[in-house]
Amino acid sequence: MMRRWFVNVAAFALIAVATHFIVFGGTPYLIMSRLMTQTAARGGGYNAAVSTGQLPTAASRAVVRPSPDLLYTACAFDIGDGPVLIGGTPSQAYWSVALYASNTDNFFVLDDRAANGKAAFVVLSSREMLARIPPEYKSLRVVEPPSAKGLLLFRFLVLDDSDLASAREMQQSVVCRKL
Amino acid sequence: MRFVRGIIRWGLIAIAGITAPLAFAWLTAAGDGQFAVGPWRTSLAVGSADAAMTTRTRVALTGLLALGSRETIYFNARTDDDGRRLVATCDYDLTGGPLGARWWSITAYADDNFLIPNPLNRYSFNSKSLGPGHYTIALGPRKRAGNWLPTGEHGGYTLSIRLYNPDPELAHAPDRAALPSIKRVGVCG
Repeated sequence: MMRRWFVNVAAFALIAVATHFIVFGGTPYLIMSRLMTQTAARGGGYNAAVSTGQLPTAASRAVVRPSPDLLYTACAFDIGDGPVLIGGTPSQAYWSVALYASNTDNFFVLDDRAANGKAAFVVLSSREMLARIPPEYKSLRVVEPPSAKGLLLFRFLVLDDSDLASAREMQQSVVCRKL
Repeated sequence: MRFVRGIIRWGLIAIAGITAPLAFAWLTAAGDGQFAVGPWRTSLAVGSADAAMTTRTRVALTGLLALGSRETIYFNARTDDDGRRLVATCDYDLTGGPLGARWWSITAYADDNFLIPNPLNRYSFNSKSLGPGHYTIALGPRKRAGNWLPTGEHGGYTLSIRLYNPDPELAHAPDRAALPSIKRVGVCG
């Protein structure tokens, strides 16, 4: 009888722990992996910027809870083969560039205030690949992502129609490419 | 008979083993930096490397690519001030004043976490469209005078406040933010 209770409790604990790690450990990676794959497919591969050009509507189904006040430019980055250059030239209104690891963590943000009106370019690189950054990019800030693959998301504020043209211009300036 | 009892026994163990961690995560959702201001809820751990596994999963499912709280604070409401679920077929008045951020917006989302289809293609109001003073947003399925925000005709919905570049006072004490009230008005249906 005691042995049967022990087996029951042990089996319950084993299933509970496994469920916890599979559901809560795996879901963020799974969802991010799907989004990175979709973004790379739309951009023709990793390290390529993908811009929407239009503000989100009810028909926008790529990512949950999009902001209807923002134009988005995304890029699925992969630093496995070497450093990646990301950035863009500034505009007057709010913009930000955020980097997300493969587990959804937002490990880096730079916005127009922090960039202080200057062009915002950053090199993504692992520690092992630092030597492969070309000399002309050595002066740029280097960010080491916690995962080789991840997602970049530029946000450009469009509070009304008058902001749209400059936000689209800014989208065209976004760079995301392997160095 | 013994075989059937064995199936039932292992079935119950499996159900309990799968349900327990999900129930525990739901019951402990208030941890990990999550708190409420009236009907509005937020978690300052969103997007952070310090976030618990359960917070990451919630973000992945309902707020993927959210920014960290130093850049943006998000408040979400799924009920009115009286704790009743927001329903698409009811009318509500959302009233408040300017919020402490460089720019901010209030957006309605259907239960599937996407924008609600409507003939005006109107999904949100922001700090520019509402202006500097006190405001009322008329939430509901039927057109109303003023700042009407359509909520669709079926099911429930949620509201999100986005506070971009929050003011230092708000960033230090978001639990004391003066957020809009949501009151049901008129009849539903």
